[in-house]
Amino acid sequence: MKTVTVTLRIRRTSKWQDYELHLPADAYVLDALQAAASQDQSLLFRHACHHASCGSCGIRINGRESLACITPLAKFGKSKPVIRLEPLRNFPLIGDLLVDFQPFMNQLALIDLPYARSVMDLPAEKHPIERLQPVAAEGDLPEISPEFNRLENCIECGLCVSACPIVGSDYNYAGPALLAAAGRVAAEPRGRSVPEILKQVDHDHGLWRCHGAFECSRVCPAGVDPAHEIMSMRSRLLQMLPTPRAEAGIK
Amino acid sequence: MKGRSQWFEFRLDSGGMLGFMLHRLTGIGLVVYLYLHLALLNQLRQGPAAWDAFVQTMRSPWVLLADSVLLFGILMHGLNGLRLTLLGFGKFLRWQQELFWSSFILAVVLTAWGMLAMH
Amino acid sequence: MNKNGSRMLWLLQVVLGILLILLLGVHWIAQHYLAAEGLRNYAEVAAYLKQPIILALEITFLVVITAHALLGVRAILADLGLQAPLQRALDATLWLIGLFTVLYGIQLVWQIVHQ
Repeated sequence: MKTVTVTLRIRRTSKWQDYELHLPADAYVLDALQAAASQDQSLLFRHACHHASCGSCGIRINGRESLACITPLAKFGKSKPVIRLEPLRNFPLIGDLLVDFQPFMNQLALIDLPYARSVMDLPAEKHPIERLQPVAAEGDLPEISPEFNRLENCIECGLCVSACPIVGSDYNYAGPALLAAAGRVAAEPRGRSVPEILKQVDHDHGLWRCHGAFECSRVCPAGVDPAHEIMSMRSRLLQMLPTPRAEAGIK
Repeated sequence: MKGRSQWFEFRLDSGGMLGFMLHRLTGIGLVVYLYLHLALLNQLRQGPAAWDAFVQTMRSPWVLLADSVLLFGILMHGLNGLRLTLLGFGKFLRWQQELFWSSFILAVVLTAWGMLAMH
Repeated sequence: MNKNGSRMLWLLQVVLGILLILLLGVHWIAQHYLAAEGLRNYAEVAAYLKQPIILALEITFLVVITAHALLGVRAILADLGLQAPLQRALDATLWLIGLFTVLYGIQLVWQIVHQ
């Protein structure tokens, strides 16, 4: 089994600390982080599923928002790389790589996106991000059927929030995760009021504060494509002028 | 100002971020230029002799260089503005990066052409 | 801001931007081709501005560019997430700046044309 030597340079609240580690060549950054933690039990970070499903291990790796569990060490070159780890931006810092997700979760609860989407699976388009067409289901969710139901893409990892240049300066900004969730609810209302959802995002610090940096979609590990959701909602709202918002529905 | 501003981060692999940054920088530059230009136009009030003398001082190579930067600023901001308009209407979203690089290259080429024409 | 305020502001900025591209083109063509010396002396500037269409063009250009510029400044400052009273004060200030800019331009041109 080939092993590699990596140095994790970890941001410890107000300083950097290096950990030299030896790991299998096919290991991931999260494995390295756990190895570091076994050397230093004061290291704070979050992890759970280790397969990009829970969204817990989001951090910045060499300045880029990533899930540590699916970032392979092999990505950093063969000769003793130094990998810089920092916490996500735009979240309150608890310590080291651990940030407080409670405010983010409270925010998302306002939109309350259901966990499963009701879709007809269409053939994947050539674009890397698979676009599935939702079927607007009014009322109750249909009987769960393996062919047609699956989980929503968003794993609430917060990478998009960290990457967005506006979230950092505008504390009132709704942010890409919330706006994308609103876009999904508006596309599949299931008996909820679309105008009510729109009211939460169609304002100066909601949809219209986005300036199209597209960083959110660039870092999203789950194919949510928040930028697309934001621009699509804006486009629909623009085409609805001068329809009064009370009568406007997304479809 | 609250919060750390992430507005100006240079990332060559992010056309979207470069577009956002350049649009903001050129926008700020153009606002500054606008008011500078309006202020300089006040020279016209001093009468023909003063104005003509002033125009002569504007013929230095430094001003030509500044004009080129201005031209790039106008072109970059305008072309990226058209890009943002298209994206804002939900068009060509998948090609947002390609649209940025096309705008950038076109702005550079037209600036070079303009510089040669002005020389 | 009213219900459709943000939407309208964005759309307005787009419309002003497109107008600017057109006006800049016309402004540039007029300056470089209608004036023999390229407006490099006072006499040319005065003669240029005395043509009513040109005057109208330049004033329109000033209004459109000032509006677009100040809306752009507003967009940047709004990214700082200012509290509502401060935002309102900022909006009022920008209106005033815009008004003064346009008035300055009009009276400057007036002076040249009527000297």
